[in-house]
Amino acid sequence: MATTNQTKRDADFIFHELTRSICPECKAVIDAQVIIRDNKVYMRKRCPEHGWFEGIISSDAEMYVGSVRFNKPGTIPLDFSTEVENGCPLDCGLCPEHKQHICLALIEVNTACNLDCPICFADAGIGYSLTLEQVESMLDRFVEIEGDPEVVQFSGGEPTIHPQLPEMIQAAKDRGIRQVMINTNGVRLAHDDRFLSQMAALDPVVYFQFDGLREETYLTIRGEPLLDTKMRALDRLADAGMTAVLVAAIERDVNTDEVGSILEFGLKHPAVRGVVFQPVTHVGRHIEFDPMTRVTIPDIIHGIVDQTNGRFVLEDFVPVPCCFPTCQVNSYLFVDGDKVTPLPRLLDIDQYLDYITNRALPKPPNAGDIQVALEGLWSASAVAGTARTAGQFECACGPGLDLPYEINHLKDHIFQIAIKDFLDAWTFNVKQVMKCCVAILTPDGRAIPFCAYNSVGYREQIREELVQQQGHHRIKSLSVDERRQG
Amino acid sequence: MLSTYSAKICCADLYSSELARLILGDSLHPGGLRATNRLGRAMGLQPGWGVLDLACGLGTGATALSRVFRCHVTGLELGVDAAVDSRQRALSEPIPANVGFVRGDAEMPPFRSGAFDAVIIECATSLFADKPAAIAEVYRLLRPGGVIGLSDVTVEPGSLPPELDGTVGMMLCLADALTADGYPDLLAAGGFTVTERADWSDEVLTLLVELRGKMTVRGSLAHAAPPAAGDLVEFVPGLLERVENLVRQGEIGYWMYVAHRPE
Repeated sequence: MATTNQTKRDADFIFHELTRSICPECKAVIDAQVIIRDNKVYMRKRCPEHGWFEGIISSDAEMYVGSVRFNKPGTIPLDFSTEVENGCPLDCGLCPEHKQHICLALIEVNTACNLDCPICFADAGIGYSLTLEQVESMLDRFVEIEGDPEVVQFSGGEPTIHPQLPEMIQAAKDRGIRQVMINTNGVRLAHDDRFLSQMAALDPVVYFQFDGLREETYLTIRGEPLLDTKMRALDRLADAGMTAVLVAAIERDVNTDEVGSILEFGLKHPAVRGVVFQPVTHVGRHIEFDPMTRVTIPDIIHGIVDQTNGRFVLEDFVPVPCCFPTCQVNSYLFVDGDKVTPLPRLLDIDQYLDYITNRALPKPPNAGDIQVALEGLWSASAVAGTARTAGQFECACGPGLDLPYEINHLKDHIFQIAIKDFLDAWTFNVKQVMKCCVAILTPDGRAIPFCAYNSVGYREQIREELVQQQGHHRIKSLSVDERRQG
Repeated sequence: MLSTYSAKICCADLYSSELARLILGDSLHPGGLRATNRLGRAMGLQPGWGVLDLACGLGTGATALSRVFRCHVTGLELGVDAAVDSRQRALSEPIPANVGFVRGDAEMPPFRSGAFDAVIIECATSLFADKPAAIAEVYRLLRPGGVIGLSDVTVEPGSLPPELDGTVGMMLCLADALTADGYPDLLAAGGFTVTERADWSDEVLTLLVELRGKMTVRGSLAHAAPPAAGDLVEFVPGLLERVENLVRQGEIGYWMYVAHRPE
């Protein structure tokens, strides 16, 4: 082929690394390149069958690359449930090649929901409902593989419409699991007095879906006006003395401009001890999106900084070392009336959580304890509004900061911000999944990393199996009834 | 010098104090409810069994055991407040528990012979003044073939520094603890067949590391502790380090044992 131009040309990108991902069309495991262009990070990959795909994975390359030094050595679980056979991410359960134990375990107790949201990674609807006995055996297995399990979160579907949710929460507590959460849309909490008082007695931390303060946001993401219901539920949680963490699904051109107001609202509400921002992950049901402009972690950090009148700076947000550090960033605030002090301004967190550069700076004599406390806070298992989190905050600050509250009150003054970017087929990176510490427990005793569960096909497969099983049970019990009648 | 009985009361009440709860959580022993569950599994507790939790503290473990293993659990506790509190708490539990509480001396338990399928004693044998008498009572209370599960602090001879003797040592279950072989010997001497023993000393280390975190800011403990314990707070940090070293050296430990009354 004749070429007229003889001058070599530079690529318009930096080749950062090669990893493995999946094809967004057929889920086949394929090679993927991570490239940097215009200070943004993209994943580029080719499926032999479906061709090339490219999508953004971080809108700030400096943050993305800089987070690597926060990569903490993993802690190996006591037991694995599968063997290495086909390679990551096809052997999940966890397999012996997994690089981290489980900080946070989810149990999806049902698939049914009292809403029908256009955006739902779990694709809630008709399906299965776990029995208390199934949940108990899953908890037992979780204790077996973890020894000292940190957090269990009951999710769904919508867990609050499962008639045995209270027994399930109690079962987790009875097994000595440190923290129990429920993940809810809040609809039942807003209207059911008896249920609310039951929950208040069990006192789980409420992981509360809250996508914004505009009704249009709910119409787009949830398909109906929910703002009043959300407000009512939160006020009732506060009256009942319960703790909530707001969980906001953030989608481009829907509510990216609301991150600041969600945070400000949370800081003022008496039930709220934290906010978790989650860029919408495009699995299950989602609205149309552009993989090149989707929301990533830096968009939310910049959003908070830009929308809160200078209250926050980029450095207030620090990557979480327990999982792969590109997955999540956290910040903690000490809140006293209107005064808000981010923890990263009280001590140099890099000094304790930088595992690679290992700068030889002079450290205080109790540096070990401070590091342990910070690792507790910068972990997927840190739960806002708990005495444990408050204690870690206090320990990290050390005696140098005279916090004017004793621990049971201090927990009401510590506020957590977490930004968690779950993977979907466009952003899926085996490197991150291999060190994932958020897992979904399944009735067959497996613990499947959350993003693998959602993206690779585990969710569909397990749902199908459970629906089949329950179908059999139903037929069996029916025939027993019939025999009785006969 | 306190009489044995008032020393026991004092100790039992100390265990229901705010300070103890702050340090140990609601379960008042290393490993908390997790360890209680592990012990229950090792004992092979079966649904419907009658189980006695001897010196049950706040009753948290007894209540959880009744739900996890679907047993009927009776908690016996000497501390006046603890027994009453436990009963009240059990009544207000959001999920019903098949559990009852009785106030009484673990060395003279007020139950008929052969009344229980299983007896569990967590972190309490070390506190009994007359250990062989207490174990003889457990033997009497169990049906033939019944099972005893015991977990406790162990101390190897001559390893305790002087400041850990006396009240503080008592509080940490150290002063009158047996060696790791002492408990199975005690059980065997009482007619039991020891079927399992395991070293759970890791649980003590976990507890101590957490406690050290809490102590890094002494203020938090001083705020919550009753004034009488203020003195204790002064020297606890150095003490914790010594205990931690002794655990790492294997001088102090935490062990569990399962034994059966022969058929």
